[in-house]
Amino acid sequence: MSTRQNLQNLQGNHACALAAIHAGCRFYAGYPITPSSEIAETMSAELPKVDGLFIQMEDEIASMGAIIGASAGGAKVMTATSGPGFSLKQENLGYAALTEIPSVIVNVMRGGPSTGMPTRPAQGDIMQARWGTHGDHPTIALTPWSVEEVYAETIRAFNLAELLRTPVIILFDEVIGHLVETVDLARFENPDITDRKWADGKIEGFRPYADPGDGVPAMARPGDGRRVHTTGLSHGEDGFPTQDAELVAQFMARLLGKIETHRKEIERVDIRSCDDADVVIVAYGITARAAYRAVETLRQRGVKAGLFRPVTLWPFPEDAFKKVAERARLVLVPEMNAGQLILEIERLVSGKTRVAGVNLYFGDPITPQQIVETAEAELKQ
Amino acid sequence: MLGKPLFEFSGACVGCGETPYIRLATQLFGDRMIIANATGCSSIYGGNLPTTPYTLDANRRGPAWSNSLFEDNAEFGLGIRLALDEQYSHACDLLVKLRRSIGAELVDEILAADQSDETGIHEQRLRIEKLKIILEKLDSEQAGNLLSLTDTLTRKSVWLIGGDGWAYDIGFGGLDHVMSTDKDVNILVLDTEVYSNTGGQMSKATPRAAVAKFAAAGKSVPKKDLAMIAMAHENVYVAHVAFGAKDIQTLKAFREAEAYPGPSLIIAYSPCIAHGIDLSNNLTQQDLAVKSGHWSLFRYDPRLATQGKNPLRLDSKKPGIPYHEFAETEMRFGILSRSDPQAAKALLDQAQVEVNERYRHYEQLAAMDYSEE
Repeated sequence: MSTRQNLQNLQGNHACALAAIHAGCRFYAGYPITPSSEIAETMSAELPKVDGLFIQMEDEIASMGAIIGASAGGAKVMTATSGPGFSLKQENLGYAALTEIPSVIVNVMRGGPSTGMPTRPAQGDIMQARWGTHGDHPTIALTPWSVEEVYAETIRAFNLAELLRTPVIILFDEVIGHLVETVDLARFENPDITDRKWADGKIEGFRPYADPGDGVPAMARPGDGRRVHTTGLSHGEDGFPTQDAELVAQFMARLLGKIETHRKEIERVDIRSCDDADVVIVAYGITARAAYRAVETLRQRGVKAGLFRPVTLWPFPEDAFKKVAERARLVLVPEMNAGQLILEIERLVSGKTRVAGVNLYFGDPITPQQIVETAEAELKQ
Repeated sequence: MLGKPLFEFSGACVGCGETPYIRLATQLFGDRMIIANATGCSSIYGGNLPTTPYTLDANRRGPAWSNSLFEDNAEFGLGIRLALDEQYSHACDLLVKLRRSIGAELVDEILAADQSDETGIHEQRLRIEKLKIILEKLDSEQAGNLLSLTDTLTRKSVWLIGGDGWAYDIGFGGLDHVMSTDKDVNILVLDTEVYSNTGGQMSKATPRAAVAKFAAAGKSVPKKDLAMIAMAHENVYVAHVAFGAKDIQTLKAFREAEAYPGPSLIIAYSPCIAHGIDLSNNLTQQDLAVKSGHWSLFRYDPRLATQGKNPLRLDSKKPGIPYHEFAETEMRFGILSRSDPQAAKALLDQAQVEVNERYRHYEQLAAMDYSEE
């Protein structure tokens, strides 16, 4: 490994844009919304330098529509927004999931609902990311906690989108979006890049949605002669609409199954001091940084605490979590919302362990002290 | 203007080009205004609670104000109008039913009231005060219902206010839909030609050659002509105003728009800090914009067509100064002349051609003969 460093002061939003281009993104469609606008601004300046295309659309619905079209046309694509815009994208997000069109959607979370607190951080879109669009659908959502991790996870988001032919959501909060940190870009000099799996072999009889074994059919390169019918209607292996229960069942099993069979590639967790932990704190984004400090403080005070940080939020890394939760007396879930991920945690511990939340969603990040106090109070109960 | 403004001490930037239009509307119609405000600058300085710049007159009447989402303000305001119309029509039904117990004379006067001017509205308010006293004494469910609706019997002035990001871009579909109705709403577009509140990104109102975020090399296409789109509906009162260039035309437009019984659209030129100007020159910049042909002044009143007259009245003269003389006074254009003088010149030359053509287009439309021969 080279010892040469390439240190840069980057804001989370800038890092996201630069990493996207690094991962091969060549098309960005967007609409201004605080606190995500710097991503679009950076893309508008940087994409033309690599022969990429930036386009400002009239709203967030149109931005999502445009990236789906561009991806169907063969490009790696991204759009970025915040909560209200993320809501507008939801119908198209479902379309991308069903038509299996790779795309990356960034949501820099701010206080909500509605216009809420546009310049303040929140983590209120955790369940929107999972269930925002209609119907049963695969979801991948990644949630970095530092500027460097924004860079890394953005590259990974593109790789997963291409590997699994699916939309991938990157969720971070306003603090991470606007945080400036030193990032050593030398670390990312030669990242693993997954490119799209294009259909090859015989053109005749091509079945665009047939399962090649891993649940992810290769896409036909537009104009290569293969017949493809893309539709938001439920379809069979040939791509044509169907209401045949057996064909739809087969299709849905593959669509949802491709996430389950690739959990190893999708899931990333950061587990700290959990081996002997009585108190496991589950946290993500900026809240996880407060939680890690809380772990150190609790340990100094004699409480065996640990941090379980799901970098991949959806699908939730269930097995890894169950392992650390097994011996814990208390699972604490601090989040900047009224209690969203805690619902998943409660489901996983099934009443076997005490679960408590630290829920502050009034515009300020959660402090380590608030987490420590709740942990100590809960332990006394 | 001696009318008391019911909009004061807003938190807008010093010299803001938008607020004088809102202030004017409140001076004229504030005691009966209901405002639907799209999210953006005007929703921030218009409702930075717990303070609000909207206030009351001596009779404790003033604008009622609500802030919608960014994209749905036209629909939001239309809903307000429809609800008021429904309440008005229900109140009229009850008046007819209770005619005998209230008194035929008063009921007939209320129903037939001409509320097209201040005197008419004042007289209607006096009648309604009388009506309330009578209704309070009547002991019936219908009288009780009417009592809760009496205030809807004075004409309300519904205003849909927002910026160019709303009207030209994200809210355009809804705006277009509202303009396709016959409902009496007044739409005020505070056109800063850029997304002001989110930090100066390009909108479809941004003129060719202006530099904005997402248009770092200068906007490569002309500003969308929203007024022409509205005129194409043929049932919409449309005005293009810039008070700094011709305040009397602005005043006329506001009065006519409010009096027009269907949808009205006022597109108001609003200099903004994002233009890269000293806002103490706000009025001068508006004057230059009009003189250069960047911003034409006109009013389109569909009622004139039915009287055999041309509905379009052009209120500004042919471009009298070269476009670049206006452009070079604003940093949004000037910045490109420094970074890429060649591109800037090409864009400004093209803009010159376009403002000339646009004016000629209006001129020809305004000269068309509407008399029936």
